[in-house]
Amino acid sequence: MAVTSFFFFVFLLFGFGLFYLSPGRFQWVTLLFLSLVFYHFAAWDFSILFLLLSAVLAYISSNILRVKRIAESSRAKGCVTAVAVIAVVGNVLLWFLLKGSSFWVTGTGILHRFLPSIPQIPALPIAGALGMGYYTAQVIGYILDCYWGNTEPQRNFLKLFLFVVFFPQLTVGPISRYSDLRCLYEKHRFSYDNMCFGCQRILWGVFKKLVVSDRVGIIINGIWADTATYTGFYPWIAVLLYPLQIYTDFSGCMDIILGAAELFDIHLAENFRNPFFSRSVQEFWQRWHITLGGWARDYVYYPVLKSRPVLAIGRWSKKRFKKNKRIAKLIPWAVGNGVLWFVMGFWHGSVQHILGVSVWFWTILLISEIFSPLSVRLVKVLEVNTESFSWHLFQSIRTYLVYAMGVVFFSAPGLRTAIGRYGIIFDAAKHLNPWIFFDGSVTKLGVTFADINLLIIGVFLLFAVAVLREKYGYARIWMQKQNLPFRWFVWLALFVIVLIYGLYGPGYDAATFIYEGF
Amino acid sequence: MYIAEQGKLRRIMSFICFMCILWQLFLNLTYLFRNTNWYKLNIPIFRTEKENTIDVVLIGGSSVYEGWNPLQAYKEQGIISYNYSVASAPAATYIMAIQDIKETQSPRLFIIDVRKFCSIHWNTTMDGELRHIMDSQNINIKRLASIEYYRRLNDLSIKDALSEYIDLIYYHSNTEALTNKLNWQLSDNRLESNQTDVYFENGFYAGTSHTFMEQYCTQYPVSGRSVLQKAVKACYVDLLEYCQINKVPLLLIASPFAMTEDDAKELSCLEEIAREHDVPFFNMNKFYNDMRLDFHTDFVDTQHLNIYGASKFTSFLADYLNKNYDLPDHRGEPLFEIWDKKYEDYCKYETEEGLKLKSIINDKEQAIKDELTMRTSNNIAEWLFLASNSNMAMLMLRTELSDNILSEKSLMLLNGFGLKEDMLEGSSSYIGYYSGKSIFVSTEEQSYAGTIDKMWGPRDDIDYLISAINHPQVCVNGVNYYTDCNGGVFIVVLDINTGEIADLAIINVEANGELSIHHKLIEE
Amino acid sequence: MTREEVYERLNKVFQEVFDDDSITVNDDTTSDDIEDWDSFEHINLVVAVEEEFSFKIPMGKVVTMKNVGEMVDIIMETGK
Repeated sequence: MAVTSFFFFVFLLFGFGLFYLSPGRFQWVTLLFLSLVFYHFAAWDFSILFLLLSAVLAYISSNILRVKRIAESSRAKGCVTAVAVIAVVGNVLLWFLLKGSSFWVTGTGILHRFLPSIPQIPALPIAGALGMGYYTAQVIGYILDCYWGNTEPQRNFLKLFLFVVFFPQLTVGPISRYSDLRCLYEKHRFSYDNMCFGCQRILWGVFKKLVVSDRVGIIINGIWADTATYTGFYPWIAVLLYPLQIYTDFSGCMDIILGAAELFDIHLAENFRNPFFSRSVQEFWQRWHITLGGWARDYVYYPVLKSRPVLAIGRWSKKRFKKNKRIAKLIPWAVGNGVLWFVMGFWHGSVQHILGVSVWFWTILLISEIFSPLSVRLVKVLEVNTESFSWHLFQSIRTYLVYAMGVVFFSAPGLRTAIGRYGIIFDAAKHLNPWIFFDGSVTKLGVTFADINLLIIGVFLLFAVAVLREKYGYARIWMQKQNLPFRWFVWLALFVIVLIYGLYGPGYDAATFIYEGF
Repeated sequence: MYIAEQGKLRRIMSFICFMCILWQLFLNLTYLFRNTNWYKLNIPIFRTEKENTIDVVLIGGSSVYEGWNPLQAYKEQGIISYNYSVASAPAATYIMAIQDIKETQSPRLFIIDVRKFCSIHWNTTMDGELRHIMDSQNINIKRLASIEYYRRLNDLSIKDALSEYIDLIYYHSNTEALTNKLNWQLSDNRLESNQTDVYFENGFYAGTSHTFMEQYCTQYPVSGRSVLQKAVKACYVDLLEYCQINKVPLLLIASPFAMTEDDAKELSCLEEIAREHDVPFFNMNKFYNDMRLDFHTDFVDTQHLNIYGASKFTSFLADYLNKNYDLPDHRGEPLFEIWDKKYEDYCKYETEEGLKLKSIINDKEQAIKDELTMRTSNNIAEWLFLASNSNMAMLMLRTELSDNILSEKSLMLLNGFGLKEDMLEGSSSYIGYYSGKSIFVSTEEQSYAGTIDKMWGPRDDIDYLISAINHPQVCVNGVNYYTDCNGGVFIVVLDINTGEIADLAIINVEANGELSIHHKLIEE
Repeated sequence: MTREEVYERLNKVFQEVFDDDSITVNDDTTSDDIEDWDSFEHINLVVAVEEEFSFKIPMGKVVTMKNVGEMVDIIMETGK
């Protein structure tokens, strides 16, 4: 059951009714039931055993931690640490066996080429569970929170299982903290505002996904399918448009999910906050896939930086570069970030993501960190007005370009194709063909001028909503202040546009979301 | 507390209001984007008829709307009627049709044509023909129930069924609909009859083409009965029982067509079941003579009557209704004065079309006579004139080059018929297919094959093949007629209407540049 | 230790870590108020505070600390 399918909306309607008719104390049971129903229609039934296994690991370990923590002896403390480590490693291993196959397949493949005696190990013939990357991260977060004493472990196994399997976030996240999702177990009253906001948000998400993202996808897929014909500017168009596709796809899906959760009075964490308004790559990752970044920061970055080896490196570098404080800090920073980015890329589950996410962004951040005093001085010398709109625009465009170059790895189905694409785009730069923008050849890709117009209007709408969001926190807060005819016109117009111009129905593959496979 | 209550009430009202607007938009968009082929327009127009004025409604497929002429029935017997029929509407939808009709009319009689229950017409796909009728229905529970009934009856998978229930899912990508006036007019699923250009009145589309048929290929009595398929029988009995329970006044008919023996047996079977349920069944295929039906001139194809046939059919059935039913005679009533005017207009139309039809039939009969002339003619000009008639098809093959060159006169003669010099000189091979206005010619291709469809005509499909690969062939239905022609072009002339070979000829260029023709004997 | 004493020592720590002698902090200061205070510097700060007040801040608190006020609370609880 895809999140943009008709069945999902019917399911939500049915679930909504069932939820508010349930007595307050058992509303969480309804949520669990709905999540299981959703799982049945969205994935292969037996794979839920993997979620159960993760939940069991989390349950057992967190409750052992709860008991042992009271004890003061160092042996108890050691035991506590061991339990936490085992539980976390167990979950990571489970994830790796099912979702990390790309690593050993590629790895042994390369080794096999050089040392034929090493066999090429294929992937396991079992499909992983739905949303494995997302819920595993959530579970690890929960275990570590219990270990650090940030939260009371959940004593009811089914309630903990609900935390793992809660249906809106099962397919593409967001990665929630246990403390944020405690509201799952509380009583929820029907609220007209929640219902309206939820539906509005879902509509907006559907618009982004079905009208904008899938349309841009037609152009991009058309170009990559035939790079022999579509050369020159074409591959560059594909590269530069891809962030738009992936952003509207992912954030549109997020809107649907957050809107759906809101219908049940559950407010999940935001995953996006106008990422392309970022002034720097650093800021970008605080606005893009926010929950992953936050999770990696709290559960990977901080522990790594505070670990003994890294602290030792820090001390060594401070001693070695006594004179230059900047370089002294740079070395532990580079190491810490290296681990962080490696994990971020690793989480995406394939070698090409390691390259496209980890290596690319770590390098960019390192370079910008090294050159930062130079660039600050340059800005001063050139008397650049750093508060002006034009400077912000430049920074945004720069961020967009950096992201676009790195995300080429995301767009390709395999490592070799991805590297090939870089070759194609640099090759294509040698024969530029600016006339393609004026002679209507865009129609050969399978889109009409009407489609292009629609995309332009869509981007404009996105921009307007983004500005409203920067100003008011949420565009709908601004909307609430407007008068009824205007509000109703906007919602009805969006509804009509989605119905007419959405890419759904026979002939379109409704389900595929880019971020669904993690 | 009071203010909170007021706020709550206001919210509920505004929510309901919003939902109503949303629903209405959805309905209008659905109706707007639907397909608007002419054979579906009967039903939106039916909805604009004045309420409770129609006494007889006929339900069925194209056999009904090309057969029953309400204006003629009014003129002869004063019956006010309407054809609620859509091309190929599946029989499983007839109950929904009755329900839809009852929304705006209360007819004294429903006439259902049972031919859709015959196995030749019973369809089992989820798409296509089901959409023909579902595209004109209002979005309501009855429509959904009917689709579900049809699906269960034929045991179809639900895979693409969603786009059948909610047809906007299927049609929304057809943005061309927005540019079409008819689509906008149909956005409320109603259409005034003067809003469309297609000629028809009260659901009658005059059939203006023709196929020759053998007189009375199958006639009653026919011995034996066939066993109906399970689904067909279930659907038929459901329909009869529905009418019984809901006291729907029903008359079942089988409109005249070129029956095969199987068809006849199936109709007998249907008649028997109707008798068991006490429903009158009027099989008009037993009364060809009484109707004075002429299979030679009265049919569009084996399944449909043309305007001549429709006139006889309407007359006969209207007379039957007059004798067996107590239907009011509305002639002379002020409310229906306009029908007199419409009938006059129709007569003019009928005369015009009748003349055209007559000339088409005459042409065909002439073509048959011409065959004899062709076979003995030695005059190239005369022969080409007869062979290039639109009722003929010429299959041409030349595999050698002769040494002779065409004279000016010969070339002009050929050009006059749309043929070029490459037919006889220039290239070393020539393949041609000439039928009426269309001509396919190639000097490079080695073969050309095709089929002349019977299109529900009385003859079978004609498969032809013109080929120079391996050994030269000009085949018709597998029989090769080619013989050696010394650099000339070998031509098989077919009569498209009858499927017979009209002539086998070889055209050569003589040394003096003139054309000569030799005929081969056709072995029967 | 009183809160004022803690703040005296804390200010020095902040000035040392961020290389800026003008920094002073209070209960409501958060990472938004000091330009260079990102996640990396956050750990540096925590380590420096640990060294200054000779105790170990538990990992859990590192993650959930919202402002300087909370940091001071932790110091007063377990620091020296």
